[in-house]
Amino acid sequence: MVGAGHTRFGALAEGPRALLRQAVDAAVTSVDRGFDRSSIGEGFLGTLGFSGWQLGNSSAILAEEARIPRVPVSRVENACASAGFALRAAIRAIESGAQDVVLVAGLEKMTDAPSTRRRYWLGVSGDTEWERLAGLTFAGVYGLMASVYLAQHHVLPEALAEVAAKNHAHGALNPNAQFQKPVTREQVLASPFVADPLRLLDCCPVTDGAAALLLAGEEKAHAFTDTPVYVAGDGAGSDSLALQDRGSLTSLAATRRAADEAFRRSALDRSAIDFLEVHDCFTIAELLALEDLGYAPPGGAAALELSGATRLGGSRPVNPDGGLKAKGHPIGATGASQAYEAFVQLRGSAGARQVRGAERALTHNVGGSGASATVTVFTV
Amino acid sequence: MRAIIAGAVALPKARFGSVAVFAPDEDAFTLAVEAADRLPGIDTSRVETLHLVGPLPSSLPDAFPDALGTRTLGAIRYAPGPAGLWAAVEAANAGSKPESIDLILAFDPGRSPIGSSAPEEDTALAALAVTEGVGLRLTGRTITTSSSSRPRRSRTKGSSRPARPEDVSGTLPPIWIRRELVQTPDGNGNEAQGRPNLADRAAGPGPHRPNLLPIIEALREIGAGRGTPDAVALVDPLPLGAETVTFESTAPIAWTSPLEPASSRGMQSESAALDRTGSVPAAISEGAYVPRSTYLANRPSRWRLAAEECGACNAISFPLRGECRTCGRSDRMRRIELPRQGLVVEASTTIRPGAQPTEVDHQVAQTGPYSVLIARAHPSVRITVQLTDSPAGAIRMGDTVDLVLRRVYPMEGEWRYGLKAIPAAREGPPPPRVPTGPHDDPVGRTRETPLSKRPKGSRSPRQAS
Repeated sequence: MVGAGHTRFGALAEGPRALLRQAVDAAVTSVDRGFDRSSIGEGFLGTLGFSGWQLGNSSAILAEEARIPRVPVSRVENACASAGFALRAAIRAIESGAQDVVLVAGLEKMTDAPSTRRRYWLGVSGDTEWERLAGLTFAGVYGLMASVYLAQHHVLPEALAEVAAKNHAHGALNPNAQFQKPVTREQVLASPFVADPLRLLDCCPVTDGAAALLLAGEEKAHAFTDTPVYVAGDGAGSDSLALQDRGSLTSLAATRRAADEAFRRSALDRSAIDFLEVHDCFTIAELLALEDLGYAPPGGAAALELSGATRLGGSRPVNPDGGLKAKGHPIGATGASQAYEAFVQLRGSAGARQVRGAERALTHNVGGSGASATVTVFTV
Repeated sequence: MRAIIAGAVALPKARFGSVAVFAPDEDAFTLAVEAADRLPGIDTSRVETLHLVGPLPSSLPDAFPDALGTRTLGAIRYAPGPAGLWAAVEAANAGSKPESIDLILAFDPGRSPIGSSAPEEDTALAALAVTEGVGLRLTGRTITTSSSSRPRRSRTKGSSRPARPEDVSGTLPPIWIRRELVQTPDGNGNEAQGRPNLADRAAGPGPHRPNLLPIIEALREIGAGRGTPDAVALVDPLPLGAETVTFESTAPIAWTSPLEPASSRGMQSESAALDRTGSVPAAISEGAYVPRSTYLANRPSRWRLAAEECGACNAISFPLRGECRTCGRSDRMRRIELPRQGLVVEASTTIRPGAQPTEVDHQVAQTGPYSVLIARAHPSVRITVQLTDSPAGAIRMGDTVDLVLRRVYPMEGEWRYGLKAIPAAREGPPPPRVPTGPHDDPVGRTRETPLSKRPKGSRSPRQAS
């Protein structure tokens, strides 16, 4: 990874094309030795197309806004993991030798849709017939998972509140984050229920934003910068679309498979990772992620969070950028945003939220309630 | 001689003031299915002919085969009220196959015209199963011409006589009512095919709004063996008199009825009470879309938990897919139904207003938060369903629920139906089957879709979590 760019996240005035343009321009600008767009051989765009502003063929918009009009671009759609899978496609394109330089972008424009339209789109990536039409959007699906997790492991909602409080504390240090105000556990526990046991402050917001990444083959990378961030290994996995069809209600098999593949490819041990960017669309999702990624035993993530080990300054910070919870979750952009955080952290340019001495990072991107997932390990 | 062998009543679950009204997710169709499901000892999948008495939306009779788990069902429609019921019983008695089961579903539409703003009241459905046997005859029918006073609507308890015998002025031959109410395909009332078609008469609300409850009460008394068990007369008010239908029985009928429990259920909001059969919310323009063909194809699984058991690896595939989802073979799939009673709840959440998909906005506006549960139907099968008839949050993990057919969401001008959960009945296992004759067992063994009351343990690797 030789460059990475990120827009502000939040309720933004810019439309989707402008957001894409900003993110790509920022990525180009971030390349230390300058970057000629004509070196891009292929592009991948992660987006759900939220609100239907451009239902099909939105890949062409990345070609236009990145000013690479003849370069092939594919849209990759795996719901909230769209950009994670776009990144995976880019890695394969370079690894195969087909391309030297590849552009990855993630984009979502969510806040300008009327509320009814937003609620419609928030559930389009779950199982339509058996989940959605039983009355579930993702808050409901994760509420079901949380209900089982808390009961099965005798965990109090305090652990969920800690995830929110920690990520808000991190987000307060991130100038791109949608929420830059700390919240306390008490405030989380006093917020209204959305889908029991999940409360309003357990849920990520609706967000506009984009992020872009420039990847180059290892031998080309040093033409762009002396300090590239390397993809040490990546992995991905799938699972049943509907929660009811999965083996477990409190573990994401797609994440477990993705993590196993990523660590195998990178030949790194889990203990080597300095910080994690995990998919915390709801607070419960961060607990499940820590367990499925192998950083806590089943039920153990709650204690890990409450110990402070996952905060900045802790032994292995989780979501130093604020996570989806505080930074915001523009669906198709999130996977690229996580990789952006790895890029700035591993180059020591993360500012107030810098993880000291960070040399290895893991990013974890989940589609829907776990039907798809990617894990990527980055090193300096 | 054929006989009525079982009956059941389903009443609306909500109360509005003192009257029973539909819950927001109930309608004539769901009550009809519920009544049929309640028939003691009757395997509704064996029903071959269905007699529908009363108005139902024209698209719904076609849905009964999937709702009752049979694919060999023909539906015949009759006018509302006792006369329609009478015609249905006679037609069922004349059934062509001695061993077949005819099912009569009598729907009382209530006395408010569909579409009016007043809640419908006293809505009830009676299901009667008729098959070969001895024990019940249907005899003469009388009709009064006097309109002096409003006849009593139910018989005096313990009496075998019509409630107002003084009003009866004559006995009409059966063909009279048949000509009046039963139009055969040739249109002149003869019985050449024995299959009346009253779709036109049944389609809309007529001037005569009968109340079936007295009939139901009387049949229950036959079933309970109370009074004189060999004759019950029913009187129902007509605009200009009363019609009397007499059922005679020499053997008890197996009955179930929720009449008493229904009256003790909680009162619903007025807006809930006003949401009734006639109205389908305006089409939702931004709904996630399940095409009607997909909905229809999945109905057996959505409504009766139809699944397939693989003879090669013993795994259960749900919903139906024609191929084992574990080993991929399709040559040894056996169709079964997973039990819809006593499912254990494994996960539960309550969806607060604003967190619901747009398809259920209409429901949330009426009744607010609702619970969604994941319940286990088999060691390798879970199902995601809404909780109904109970306040949100009333069911917790580890509780058991039964599944009932209800409205789930509107789409393209019609309601779509699916299973919802209610707290499991406390009575324990369902009553034993009533023997239905020497053909019972062979039919049960050779049938393509046996009801799997006790699913075998699965060796599916998907069980491992």
